[in-house]
Amino acid sequence: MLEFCYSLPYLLLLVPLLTSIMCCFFKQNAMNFFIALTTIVFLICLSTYLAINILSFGHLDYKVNESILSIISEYRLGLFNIFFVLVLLFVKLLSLLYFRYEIKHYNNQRFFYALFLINCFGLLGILLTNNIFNLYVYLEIYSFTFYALITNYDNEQSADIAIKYFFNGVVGSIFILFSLTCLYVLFQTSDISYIFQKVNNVSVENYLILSCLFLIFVCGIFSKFFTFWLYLFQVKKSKNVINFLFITLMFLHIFIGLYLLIKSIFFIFGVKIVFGFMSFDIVLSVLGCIMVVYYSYCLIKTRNLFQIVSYLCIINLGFILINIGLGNVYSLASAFLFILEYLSSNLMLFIFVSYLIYNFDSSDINFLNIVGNKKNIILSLAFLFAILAKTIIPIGTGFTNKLFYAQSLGKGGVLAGLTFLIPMIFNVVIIGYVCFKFIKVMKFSKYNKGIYYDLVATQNKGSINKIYIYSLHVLLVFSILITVFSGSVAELSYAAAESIIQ
Amino acid sequence: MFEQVVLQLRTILDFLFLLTVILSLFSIFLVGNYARKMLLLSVSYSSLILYFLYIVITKELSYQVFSVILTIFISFIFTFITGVSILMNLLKQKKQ
Repeated sequence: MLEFCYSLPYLLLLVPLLTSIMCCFFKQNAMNFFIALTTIVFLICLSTYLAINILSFGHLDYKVNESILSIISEYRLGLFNIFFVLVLLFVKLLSLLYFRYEIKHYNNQRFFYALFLINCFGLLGILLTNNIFNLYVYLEIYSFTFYALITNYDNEQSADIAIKYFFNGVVGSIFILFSLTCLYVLFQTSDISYIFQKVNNVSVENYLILSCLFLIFVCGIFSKFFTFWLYLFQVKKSKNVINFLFITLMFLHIFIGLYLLIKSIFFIFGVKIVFGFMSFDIVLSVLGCIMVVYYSYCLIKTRNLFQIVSYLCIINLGFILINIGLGNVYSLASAFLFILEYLSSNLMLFIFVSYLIYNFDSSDINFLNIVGNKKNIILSLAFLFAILAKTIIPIGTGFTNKLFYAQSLGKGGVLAGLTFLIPMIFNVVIIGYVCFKFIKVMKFSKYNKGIYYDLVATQNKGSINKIYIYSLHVLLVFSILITVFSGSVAELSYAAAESIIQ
Repeated sequence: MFEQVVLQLRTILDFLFLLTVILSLFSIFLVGNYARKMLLLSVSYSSLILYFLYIVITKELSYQVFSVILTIFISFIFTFITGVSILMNLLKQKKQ
């Protein structure tokens, strides 16, 4: 039984690659959509089966041969990896359903699904591989397909964003390549597990070189995955750009960036060098604190919903960075739950705002008037669910992540105390204020119901609206499931965090 | 004497390669023109590949590293083609 499990991760990698080739042969969009959908559903089933096996037998790792570069040379699949794989496939499934309607804005529709599946292959490769050069190759595969997906949109702004992202991404790639090459030259192996073992036995004199390599690697990650926010505010008024592709890819970007950050700290360079010698935990915690405090303050000033949601995302990211910086089991479990919150409530809010922008050409806070309307019950529920999950009300993972965060205080000392109290107080007070502002707007909005119905009457975007509502349905069900099984979800994230610390 | 000269030359070459990579990399953010950015990017990428080749030869690493260098070179070509096609797409959109 276990032998069979060892070959399944290869299937996880090869299935999207093979089906992407199949997609190139069919001209009908419906057929290609069916192939892509079947592939993603199959991958979700496969990863769920693997997750159950990993919970029973522990992590799976396998090495086929001694070559330093091969598509399927070696992998390591623990609870940590499978958690990211499942999250990734869920976002991919959601985005695929949306593309069914969005594809008419595309130039090369025939190759869209093939690119989508190769993008999925690259992402899964990044999450599964245990080889530094394979990691680089998968990163490049992911990047190429990402550029191709966003450039194919038939508008100038996506091309402008694509070229800006391209330059940042390639600079990041060069940094990452340099760091990985130096690691290979130093340790003469490309296997991440061996590198980690050797890093642990390195003498103190060599710590400086490894610290520099880690810094270069982190610079690469930040340049490649976390620069999207720089462009986000430039495009906030554009109706076309605020589409689901950007949202999902941006969310996937943050996921992959966070995954690589955790992987580099806990699986490549080791806590002894990164937290002990470099004190990078303080850097991460201070950066996270600044993000939380500053963007909480920004929340008060703005009346633009798109900006509010973007700030909420950055605040969430700040909490994740603080928890990674604390580096104990509870804080890492909390970081995983914050990632789940990022997926459920933040994505729900983004889709809600996209719906507003698409229909009313505005993301002004006054349009929250529609939330109180009985005709839009799903919109209202999704919005309230997502915003309440941000407070300490036990909805979604919003309560359990803060509980783990508080528990990490016992293991983290003064740093944990400071990084808990300052951002937490700011966040709770300001989110409370924002909720109050929302309720006030919903009750006393300047747009009365008559004007609202006029606005609804002018819209003629039925199919896209449907998919916004369907996406909100899916996310709402996902969030309710997380709330109902919050105990099991918390246990799973704790187990994943334990597997990292071991 | 000869060995010392070779050693010094190697150090200078090391330094020059790294300097080219770093300077061209950071100049990307300073230059406004997209075509110049592409040029600097190519310089940086190719000097990194050359530097890697140089390390492989001087440190006498496993012959398998050449497959890695080849892959990096192919990815560089792909990157270049992708960058140029995004630029062309941008120009086409601006004309429309």
